[in-house]
Amino acid sequence: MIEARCRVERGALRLDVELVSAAPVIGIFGPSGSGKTSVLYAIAGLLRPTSGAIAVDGVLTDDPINDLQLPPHRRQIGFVFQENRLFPHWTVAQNLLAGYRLRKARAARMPLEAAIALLDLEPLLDRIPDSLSGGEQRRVAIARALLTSPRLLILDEPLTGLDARLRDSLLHYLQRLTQQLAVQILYVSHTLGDFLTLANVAAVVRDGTCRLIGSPEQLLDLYAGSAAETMEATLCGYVTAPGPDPGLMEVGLGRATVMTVGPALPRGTPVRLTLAASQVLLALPPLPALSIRNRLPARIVALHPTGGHALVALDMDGQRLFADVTLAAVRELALRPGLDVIACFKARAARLTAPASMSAAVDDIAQSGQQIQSSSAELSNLAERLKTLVGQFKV
Amino acid sequence: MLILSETEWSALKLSLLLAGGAALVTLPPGVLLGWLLARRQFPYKLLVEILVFLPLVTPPVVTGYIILIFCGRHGWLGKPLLDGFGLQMVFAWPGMLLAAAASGFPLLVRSVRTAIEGVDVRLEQAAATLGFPPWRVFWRITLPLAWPGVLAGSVLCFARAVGEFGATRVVGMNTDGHRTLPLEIYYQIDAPDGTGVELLRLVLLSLLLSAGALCLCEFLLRRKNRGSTP
Repeated sequence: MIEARCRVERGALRLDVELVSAAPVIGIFGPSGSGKTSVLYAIAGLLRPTSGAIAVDGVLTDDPINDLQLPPHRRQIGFVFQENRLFPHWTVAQNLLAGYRLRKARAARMPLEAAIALLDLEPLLDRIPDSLSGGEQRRVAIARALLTSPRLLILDEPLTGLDARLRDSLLHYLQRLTQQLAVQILYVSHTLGDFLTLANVAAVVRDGTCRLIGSPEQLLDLYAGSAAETMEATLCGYVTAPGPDPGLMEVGLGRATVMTVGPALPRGTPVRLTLAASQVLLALPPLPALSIRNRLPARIVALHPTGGHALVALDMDGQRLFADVTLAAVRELALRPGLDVIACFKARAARLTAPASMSAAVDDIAQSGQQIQSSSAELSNLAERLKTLVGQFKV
Repeated sequence: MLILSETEWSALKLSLLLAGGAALVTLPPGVLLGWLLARRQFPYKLLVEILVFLPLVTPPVVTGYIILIFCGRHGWLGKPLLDGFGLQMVFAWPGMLLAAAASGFPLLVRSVRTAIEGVDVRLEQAAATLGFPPWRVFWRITLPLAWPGVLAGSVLCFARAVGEFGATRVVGMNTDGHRTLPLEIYYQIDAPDGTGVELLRLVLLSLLLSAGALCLCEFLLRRKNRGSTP
């Protein structure tokens, strides 16, 4: 539970912050340079608010009236910085242990092995931070912060500065995080797409304020104009069959299946499809003959008109999908919330990612199968991996 | 030519001992002061800076004279030390050590300060959010990352202390077997019966020591640059 009602000043920046929420994942949205990071710094104790108070989990951390400012090291707030800030003179393992050793014994929420497994850090443990890729560094930074058993985990633009592939796979890790952890997460972004995938509650920084506005979907009303072109949705599914032709693959998404382009993966591999709103077209049944392979039955949740366009939010068996259509199309098809439509996209339009961990786990299981009698330790290890796999299958 | 005489050996030994001692003695206060100057704001900071760096630019003879005044038999530091502990400062090794330390100290502080300023404050912030109290941030993050620069400063301090002449001339013993390398060179130049070969040997030795120290220093600083944060 975070309660921040304060004023933050830094250079020319003046920001009135009102952020009170117990939601598991709070997203703060705002354009670059709007002062999002300053809000995070104030909450973490790295920047002193000029007035007002901040409390985390009912513990006051800032209260200028009583001259209280808890120093950052006593706040138990995990912070994943934009630049990761791994200690260059230590290995990944040493970085992970840095805060883990110092946490209070009673706060032992996150075992070391769990964090390493959650973020797939096992192969990186002996490496030096400088030798890691941006995405790997980010994962280490997240695990390092988690291992302090924080009362609040702050992620400052965790997906910025990574290429599309890394973004998709890290998004998967973050989703896993938000599903499996009891810790509240405060998350900052300036891209709407990943924001909608992760956050339960949204706050917006604009006009000198930082305020909660409710569900992330409501952001679309505010920002659909700037976001419509770049809006992406992420769909979770698994490989159901190799495609009819080489290079194609059939992916099951709930009741429907779609065809995508991608590497040959074994049947059952969990995958994610990233789909830009501009690549989706909407149709009303009955469909004429189309070259487009993928036709998903979906229901319109909301319409966000902007300029000559409208961003249409769709629900497909509980998964969110976006389509960017013209206002003329909205009128002609009489698109409105609640209407059942068919969302179509070309096989080539979706970006497919199979998280490395998952394909690795599948390989591991295939290998383990051959040596299954060798030791009981391995058996329990396998059971553990199977359990995580099953967890990942819940799409 | 290459075999050192008794006096030359003792001069070399005394110089190395004094300079090594000076480097050791100055390290803790040097690191503390360098850190304070790099990371903290406090009243009269400029005054402290001037006092620390003064020996770098004042004539060493003046430094020697000041030591003589304060640490002499009747000086306000020298008298209690002599009366209380029987420790004679001037015209004895403690005075010479003090002279050596004072000459090298500014170089050490300057080097430590630059090294600590080169450590990314953002890493220290990150350590704080991981639960590191300030002293732990210093020991585990700041100092290890600044260490090559600190060590280089210590080597510089050592090299400067080896070369100390003016102040040592004032507070030193100046008797045979109790002269530092530069003093011995000076005496040999001055001596009417001094042989050219002995002098040359001492001069070469002196040059070798300085060059070696500078080499080590450069090596340490390069290592620091290689291991710096991205």
